[in-house]
Amino acid sequence: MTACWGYLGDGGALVPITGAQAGLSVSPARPSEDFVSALGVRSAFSAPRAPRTWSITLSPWSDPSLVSVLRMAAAGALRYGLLGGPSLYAADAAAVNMLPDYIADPSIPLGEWGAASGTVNAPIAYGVSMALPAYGSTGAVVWSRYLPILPGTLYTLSAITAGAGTLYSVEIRNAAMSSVLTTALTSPASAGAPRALSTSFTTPADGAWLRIARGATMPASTGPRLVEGAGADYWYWQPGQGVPLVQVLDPQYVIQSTAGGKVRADFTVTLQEVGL
Amino acid sequence: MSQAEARPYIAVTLGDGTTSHQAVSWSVSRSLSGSGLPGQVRVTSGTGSASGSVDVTDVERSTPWDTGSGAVVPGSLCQIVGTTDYGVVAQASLLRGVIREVSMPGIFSTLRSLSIEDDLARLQRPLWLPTALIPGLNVATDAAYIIDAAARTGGRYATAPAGASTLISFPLQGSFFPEVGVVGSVAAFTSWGTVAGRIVPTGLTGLTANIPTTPLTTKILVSAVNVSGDGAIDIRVDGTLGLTTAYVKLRMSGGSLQASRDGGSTWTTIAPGGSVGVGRFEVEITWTSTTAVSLRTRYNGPGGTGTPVWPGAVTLTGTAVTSPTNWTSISIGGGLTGVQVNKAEEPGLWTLPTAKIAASGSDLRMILLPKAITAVDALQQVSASTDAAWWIDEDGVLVYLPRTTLAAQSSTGTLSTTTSLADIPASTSTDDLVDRVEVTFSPPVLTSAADYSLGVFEATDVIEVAAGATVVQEYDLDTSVGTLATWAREESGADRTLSRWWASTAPVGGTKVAASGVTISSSLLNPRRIRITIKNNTGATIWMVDGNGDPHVIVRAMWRVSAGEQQTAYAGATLDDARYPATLDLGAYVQTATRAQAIADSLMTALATPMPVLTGLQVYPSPSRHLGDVVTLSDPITGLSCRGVICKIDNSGSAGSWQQTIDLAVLAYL
Repeated sequence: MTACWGYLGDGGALVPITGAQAGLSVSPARPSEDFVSALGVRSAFSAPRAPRTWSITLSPWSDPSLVSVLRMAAAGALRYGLLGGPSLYAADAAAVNMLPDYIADPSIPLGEWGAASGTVNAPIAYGVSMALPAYGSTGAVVWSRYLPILPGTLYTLSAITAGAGTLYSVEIRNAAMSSVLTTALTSPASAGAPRALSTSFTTPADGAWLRIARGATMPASTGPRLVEGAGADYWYWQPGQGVPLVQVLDPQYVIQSTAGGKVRADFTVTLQEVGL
Repeated sequence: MSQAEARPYIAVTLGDGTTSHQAVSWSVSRSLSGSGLPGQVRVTSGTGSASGSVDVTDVERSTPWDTGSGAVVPGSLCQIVGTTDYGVVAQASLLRGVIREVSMPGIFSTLRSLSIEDDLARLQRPLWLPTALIPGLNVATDAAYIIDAAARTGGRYATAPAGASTLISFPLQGSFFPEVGVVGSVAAFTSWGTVAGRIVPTGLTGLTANIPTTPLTTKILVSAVNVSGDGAIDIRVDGTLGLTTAYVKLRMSGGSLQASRDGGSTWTTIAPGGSVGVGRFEVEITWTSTTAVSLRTRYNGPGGTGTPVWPGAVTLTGTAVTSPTNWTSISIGGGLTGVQVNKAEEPGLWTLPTAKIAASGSDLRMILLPKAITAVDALQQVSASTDAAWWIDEDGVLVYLPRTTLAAQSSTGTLSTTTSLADIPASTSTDDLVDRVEVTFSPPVLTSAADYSLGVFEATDVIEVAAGATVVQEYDLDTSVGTLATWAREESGADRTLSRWWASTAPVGGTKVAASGVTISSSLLNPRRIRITIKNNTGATIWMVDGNGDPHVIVRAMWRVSAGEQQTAYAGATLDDARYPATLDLGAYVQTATRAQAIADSLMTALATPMPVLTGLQVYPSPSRHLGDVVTLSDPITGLSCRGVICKIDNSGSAGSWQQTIDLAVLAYL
């Protein structure tokens, strides 16, 4: 498992954000608006996405080197080629579902994978099942965008289906964008009733990027989920938390001491989710 | 009507539709505006316009004038589609137009603000209407024909345009004049009607046309749009000139397309897969032996899109001909439009119509056009004169609909104060009161000269044609004309008939060029615009002047249409008693007192009870609510229930927001 709360950076260049204190607040903000009828009946509109803001307080009386990468990212000194900006690989997202929200939920009309087709009756929680929008066969393999991942780490991909066939393919690439591992989540036989399937794999030592594809002739499937570790609780679908691109706001700080030429300061950092 | 919680989604596609952008914020506004009549009828006749603005981000290019694949540049096509609740409410187009302006707030910004408007550029061309009069057939011309001509001038087609292999094309949009081919005769015809917003001939039988016999045509593809459904089709295709016993008849019966040979009573179903229904169908008819004809049929069915595939063929045998031979004529009846006979498959047949034209109800006996008229002028003038509205709809389709047809549409839904209306503010004034409607109209006057002695154009500038060169000139005429005279050289200097030319070898005092020295022809682009083509067959430059150096190119014609006296029809109170009179000039596009009186009566009926135009109604949004839709308003507290037509609709939104505001012209209390 991850040694710290999160990593910032690019595939092959994820830098740990060390010193994050407990009480780290994450604020999703979903734009919305009300329509109120003349007789006072309210209807609401809301956006497909709720971009998050992370407010991080770092350990008190820290050396300024603690925020050097964050400061560089805020200043734009780091050049992130593939995605154009730094990504936030957070431990909580890695435990819930690392896939982007629009990949994990077929109904969200964003991103590469296109629209949902049909539904799969899948358990959502506490033994309750619902018909969830599903991905189906389109005759074409469609890849997601690349997600930065950690090298030498165990990941588990799971999904729900009632049919047989290759559901999703996974490819790991190194920092030079050479393919270093491919694997797939395959349903061996039609089960008649929806069931969860999973596959685990360990990223190679030079693994930097992961991308996932929907199968060309996949059976109706929903709830793709990628987590760090063995994924024992894979049965339930979880909305995607992603490895989002973030804007790093310049670290705020209060200087506590410069005694003996050693700077000690309390840092707070704000990260904002940007991009798809 | 409303959901507890909805998630709007909007996409902006550019150019050919392959580039899609997320909108930061967007707005689309469309409205109808018309004559000086009270609001309740004004807003349902006249001209519609739409505009939109949308903010997108473009990270690929640093300035609005950078070009390349998918560039956001002025002049490119742009479409906004969206749904108020993705996955629940179907996506609908909100605007399809061209980008007029792209702006960015600053050099480091990726934000691009686009102004989008209706694509009217091609409608600014001179009206292309290549016939003024068809003696004998012109009785059956509806003013919608001018609308169709204007739409076609602007590249918008109510029926598929003729293709490269088209032998005969009858759009049948208010006229029997063919786009390609020559009309023969009409056996019977009742009137032009409207079915689902589209004009269609009713009571038509035996509209015939000859199929050109060179080159030989053993295979033809007959295609038409079935507008009025079952039992209405009668296409007869004759083979072999003069041998009337060898032919194929097609009909629609019980929803299926059937064929018979040589007038026999045995009908064979030729369209497999059940009912053909409303929509375009195409039948390929081929002589396969001296007795056998093979037929294949494909069709789209109601609402179908794309090119259907051919099923297997059906063979019909009948009277023997001397050898497999060509098809020579076609006879059409029933509720069809867009009839085409093609030699090869024309992919253009299966593209969706880009115009939707209803019957105007105004019969034209002749067409009198203003000078230098453009397609968009024609749309505006004919709409205003026929008490109708035209606009470009959300899908970019040009719509023409008379007020009475518009108002008679069934309600598309109910808006109630319980869930879907934020409020109903209202006001009325004396502007809404009318007790007398007076319409004026000016039926044109036709002058004819069987000897082609009516002068319609005389060159005022010297035309110079270099050796062996061809000069093409277009001129606007001072009158509407029909049937141009043939060309001949000026012989006496005072010839009074035919179109005449005089060419000299020098600008002044040259030698008269021989009759063989010049090939000259002319055609009408519309009744008021002529194209003259002059070819110099000699080896030296010539000037189109007489011996004195005066220009001498004179065009004559058989028919001339000029403005007639203004006539008046009225309904309601007499002139002395009227306190709130309203007037409307119908010009030359209404040509009978009956039609003028009908318009006056219909306006008076509509205005007898003053009704408001409700403006700025904030409603629960629907992406499929359109300009021109009839909706019902209801309020359970006051008991209000009325129906009205949407004469203005504004949509706007951003993340998690979609606002829709409509203006509603109330038509009737329920």
